[in-house]
Amino acid sequence: MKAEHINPFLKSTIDTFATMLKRKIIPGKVYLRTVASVADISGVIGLSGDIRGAVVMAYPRETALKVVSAFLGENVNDLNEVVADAIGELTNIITGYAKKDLADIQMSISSGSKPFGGYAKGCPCGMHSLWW
Amino acid sequence: MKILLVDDSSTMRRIQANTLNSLGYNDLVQAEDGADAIKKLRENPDVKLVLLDWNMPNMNGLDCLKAVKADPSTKAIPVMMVTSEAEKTKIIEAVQAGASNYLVKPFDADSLKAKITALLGGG
Repeated sequence: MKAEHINPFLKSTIDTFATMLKRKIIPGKVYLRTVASVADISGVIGLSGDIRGAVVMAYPRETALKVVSAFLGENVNDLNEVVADAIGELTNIITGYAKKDLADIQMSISSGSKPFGGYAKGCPCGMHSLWW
Repeated sequence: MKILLVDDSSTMRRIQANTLNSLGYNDLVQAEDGADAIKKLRENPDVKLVLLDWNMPNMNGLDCLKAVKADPSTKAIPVMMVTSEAEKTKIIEAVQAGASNYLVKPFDADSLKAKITALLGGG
């Protein structure tokens, strides 16, 4: 994992939030995650080319609602398909914008990889989460 | 004044529609890919502007743009690309294919407003 591969995504995230959401965000310390993310909603997009894998942006519920409200310019109060689509599209924009600073790498958003936003819906038993 | 919004993301169509509504453009038609856009243009010959995403299933934005510009009944309609494709080569390719303007995502509402106003000559 190289800094020159990570920094374009940090810059793109900061720029996208400043431009489309009118929000200033400050990155925390960058680290390699070794345990699975615990998030209420995630946006996922596949990558192909020299880099193969996926970009995942994961949010707690309240953060996701604030982010999507700012993105759409409308108040949203519940995790639903609208929020999931918005989180997926935001991931798509951030990834696409990061590409321009990765000129040394042939990287494409995988053809047929529609950005995906999925959220956890609580099981009635209260013990499980299902992804939608 | 009727405007066609073409994007496979319902979120992006919603954001663009909100911006256009704030400018007083309320007569909007939406399409979710290039093929759907061609169909909607046939059904709505009074469309005056097309906002067109690039990366979409079925028919991408560049192929859609070429089809619009090859059809005598639609070639005069201005088409603005609204896309995350930010590389210069892509912008040149779109302009050479007939795009009237180009807006890179992420964009702010003011940039979208300014480019639409420039293309349509005011609200």
